[in-house]
Amino acid sequence: MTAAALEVEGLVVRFRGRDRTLQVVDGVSLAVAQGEIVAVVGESGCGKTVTAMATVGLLPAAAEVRATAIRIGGRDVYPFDRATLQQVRGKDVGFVFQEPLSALNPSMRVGHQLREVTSRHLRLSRREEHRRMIEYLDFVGIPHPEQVARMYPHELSGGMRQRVLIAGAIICDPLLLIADEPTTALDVTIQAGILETLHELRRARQLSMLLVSHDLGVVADMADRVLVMYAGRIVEAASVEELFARPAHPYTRALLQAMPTRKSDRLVEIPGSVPSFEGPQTTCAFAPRCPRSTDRCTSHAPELGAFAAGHRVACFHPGPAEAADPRKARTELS
Amino acid sequence: MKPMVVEVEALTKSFHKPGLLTVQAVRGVSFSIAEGEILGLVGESGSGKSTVGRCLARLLRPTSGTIRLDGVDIGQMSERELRPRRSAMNMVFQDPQSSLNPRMTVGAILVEPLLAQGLVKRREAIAAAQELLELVRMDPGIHVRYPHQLSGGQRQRIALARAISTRPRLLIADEPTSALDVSVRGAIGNLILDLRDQFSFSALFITHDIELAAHLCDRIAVIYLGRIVEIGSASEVVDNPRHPYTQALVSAVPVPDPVEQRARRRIVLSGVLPSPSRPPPACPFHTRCPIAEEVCRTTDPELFARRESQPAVACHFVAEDGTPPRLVPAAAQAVSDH
Repeated sequence: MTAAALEVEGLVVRFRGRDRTLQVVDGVSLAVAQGEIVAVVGESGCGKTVTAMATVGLLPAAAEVRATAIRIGGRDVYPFDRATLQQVRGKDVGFVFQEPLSALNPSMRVGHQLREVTSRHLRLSRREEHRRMIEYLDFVGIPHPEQVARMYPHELSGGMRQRVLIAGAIICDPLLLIADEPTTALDVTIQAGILETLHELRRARQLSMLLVSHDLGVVADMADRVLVMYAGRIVEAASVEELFARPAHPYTRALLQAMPTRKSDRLVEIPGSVPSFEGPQTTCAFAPRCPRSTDRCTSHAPELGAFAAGHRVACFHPGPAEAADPRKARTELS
Repeated sequence: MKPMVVEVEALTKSFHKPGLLTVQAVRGVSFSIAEGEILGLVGESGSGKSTVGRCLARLLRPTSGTIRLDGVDIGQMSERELRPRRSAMNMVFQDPQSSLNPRMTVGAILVEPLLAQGLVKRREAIAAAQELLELVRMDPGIHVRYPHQLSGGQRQRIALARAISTRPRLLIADEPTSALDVSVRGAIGNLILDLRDQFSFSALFITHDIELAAHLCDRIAVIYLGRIVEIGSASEVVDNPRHPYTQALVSAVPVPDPVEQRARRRIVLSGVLPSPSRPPPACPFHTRCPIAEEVCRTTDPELFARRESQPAVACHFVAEDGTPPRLVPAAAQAVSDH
């Protein structure tokens, strides 16, 4: 068996402030198999972006990152050292961020920016570099790539910029693409085209992806597996079909119900707000907002444990709505 | 039949900048909103949807056309004439962070319009603020706090409370839930519906999210490049879209259900939104429409309903009985947005 594209074990991220420290990622472990698309979903502040950035040491110095292990393509990259990171970023791992305009250099032509990536990581002649650049721009669906390569980012539409960014992220044939809200800043009709391109990338190149998104529609479209994050922890992990059909965590269920559908009259609200933690969690972070919360939830932190085959959940009272009565629900997990 | 609160006819708004091309943001838009009705104005960036909203709130003066509020044309009124009518039309914006003054307490923010209009006296102000907070289901004690002490959802409730404080006839909400998380979005949407039921104001709900509009609005108008291309009951427009652009828009929104979503066919549009300073002649959508023909480049399609109770659609290829044109399936389309 080939090594997973990405393996993260026991990731903890803390931000040290003047008055207090915040533990924003609290023991996250995840793996992305080769050719697999894993989505991390959650609302703002749940730690999904921080998790993605931390795996390749992209967080600012104020962040304190600890992990048991981080492996990319089977190779240990943690603890980070500069030489390894420089080789990994751009070569083994490509990135696409939400806002393409701020991810591109406004004063450099598109072609120049792409060549910067290839010249750092690949030993190619100038002519080969150029050919590769045109090939990849064409692959991500950019018409007239020769012409676009000579343009500046501001001359391109939002959708085109995002395509250029994707081309730059995959031009060295990485093992893994980390895509953080890749279509959130775009109109839906443009998003449709970008999602098609990402599908094509996986089909044609077996590219693994870690997709960070808050949009359950995009996740339903793209992902093989889904990790739901809440307050810095993974609270549920399952295949995309299983997660949408049988959400086990009360938070996941509420999130799914909160999406507007034409079947119901009122939108579902989740009352309350997300708590923050200074250290490792000692209670269930969702308990204050959870209809099933019991004493156990406010005195112990549930671990991510098996719920069904290939389906894990961190909840003392998981399961479908019928099991809403905590006395009937399974109380022992993990 | 309920009386019309808002009647907009042939509204246009152009922006001139010396030395630059004139941007024609809104090009002849007509619609009406009945009492207690919520009309969704759905479009993508650059469609002119926010400009329509700002004209209705008379934050902008239209280039031409009429805007009648309860029968009175406010389209070209001067600031002085508008002043006593301002309280009849209030607006809620996307980002409550920037629409609330960070140096004022919640209470002061809430009663400012009431004091300005002389609707409450200063010594009644605190009580008025507390009453408004209860209306939007917040703790009345919060009136002493500042906006930065509140969450995004709470700030948007404050913005809503302020907007309804003068009991307006028309509420204009410009992407009021777009900056919020899904779990909070529902609460704000429901609150708008509840307040409408309680005070029966009319509302223009401006959004890029056609699914959300389907949920919250009674009727929907789809706007493309400054023109309404389809307008009718929310369920008809979204469940049975007729205009090719509406069809593409509805098909492009991914459904949060992997089985259903993967079985769907996406209509991927080619081309980009043309520049609003140089809109294409005749049908505005013909440069990206998968079924455009010569007639679309030469003749402007009229916006009308083929049958009574059907939405009005501006497309040459909607049949006489209102059957929508069939678009080429996604597989045959080039994947491109250039």
